[in-house]
Amino acid sequence: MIYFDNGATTFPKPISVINSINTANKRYGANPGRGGHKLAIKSSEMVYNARKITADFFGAKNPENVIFSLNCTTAINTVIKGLLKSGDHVIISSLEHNAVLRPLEKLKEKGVSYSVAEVVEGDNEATLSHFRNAINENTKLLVCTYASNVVGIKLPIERICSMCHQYNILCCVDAAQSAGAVPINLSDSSIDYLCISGHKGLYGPMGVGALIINCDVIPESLVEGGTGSNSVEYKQPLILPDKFESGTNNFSGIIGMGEGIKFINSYGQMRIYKKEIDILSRIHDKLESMRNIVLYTQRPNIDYYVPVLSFNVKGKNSEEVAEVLSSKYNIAVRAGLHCAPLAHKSIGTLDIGTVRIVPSVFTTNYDVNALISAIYKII
Amino acid sequence: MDNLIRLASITEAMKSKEILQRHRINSTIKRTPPTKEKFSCGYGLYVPYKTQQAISVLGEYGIFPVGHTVGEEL
Repeated sequence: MIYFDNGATTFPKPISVINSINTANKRYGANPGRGGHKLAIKSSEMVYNARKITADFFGAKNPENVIFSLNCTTAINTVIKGLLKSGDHVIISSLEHNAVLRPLEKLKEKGVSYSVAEVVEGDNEATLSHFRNAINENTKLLVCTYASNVVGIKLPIERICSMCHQYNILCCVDAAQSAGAVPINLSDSSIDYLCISGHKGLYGPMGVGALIINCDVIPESLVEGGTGSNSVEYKQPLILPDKFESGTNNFSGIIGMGEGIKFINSYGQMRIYKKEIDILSRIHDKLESMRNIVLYTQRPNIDYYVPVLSFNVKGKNSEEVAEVLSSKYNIAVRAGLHCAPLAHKSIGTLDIGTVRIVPSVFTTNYDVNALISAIYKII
Repeated sequence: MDNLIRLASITEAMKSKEILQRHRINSTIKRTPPTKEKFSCGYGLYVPYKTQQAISVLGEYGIFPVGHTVGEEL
């Protein structure tokens, strides 16, 4: 199958990632951070190495500031529900995923409110202004995607976060679609909490992500339990990462994610980014020249976009187009709302969704030509 | 066990071992026995030589052991 659904999860995974997961399970399968025998110490060491690799990759202050989680959604929930109390106000963007929207909707029942700031493609000043106008005296937190998982537009994150800091507002960034795909360096960033997915741009397996804490305000834990540390105490340890890592972690997933980062480092992150944007630019050019195609963004470039492109065929539902691409041409794309109704409302596609194309480092010219040829036949 | 530096978590133990390695102090990660000492029961570093120096070095990196036993250094 020709795979353009890398926004849902990258596929295939690098061989080095697959091998690391196999090795972790075959040779080092003891529970990390629990026992004292050699195998448990070895598996703990492997988890620590993955933590360190992740910390280095994102410029985190310390390895312990990297909190492994089930996925990016869990990391976002930890920040939102661990920080907010009744009366607090939150600002989000008009391109947010349900991973941000739904926890906030849930917290509305407890007296938390939120405002949506409109993102204006190609006009960062206007976007920034919308965020500034949304601030009120109760605003405690900004939760914002680094880039849209529907249309790939990058937000002026650093400017938004710097502005929020002037008002003592904490900043949490959803980097599900961006982590690994674009360089993010927390060492010179105003981002306070970075939430990442391990199985997309980082090329790890599904079922692993992380919250990286880049400030001194530590959220409350959402889950308490055994951490392998300080066991005599009934209360949850406050030390990082133990405060947030109760129960057994996804050991092989964490190892795979660490190996995915090593793969990106060896290939070159900017090299991958430029390659993927180049692929999407070519597809954009071809689609733009076709009749009956609707595009929702300008031609992608590395300054303003991550490698995500949405389109529709006039008169056809996005699911219908994806179904034909799959059944007739063996091409995988993602149709529908991409769990981001706000973003679709913003581009006017709430009723029909869009067809989303996301390449990966493994996408070939053959894949691109096959996709364009198939779309040409569909229209 | 003598010459054992008790640390608050496995992550801290791993990080401490790495720091001590950079300072040419050998250490081994050990599971520490449960005691009633606050923050105990977890992991520690067995540092057969230069235990006191190791504690000082860790302090420079903002790592403060939750307890330690210093026996006769070998």
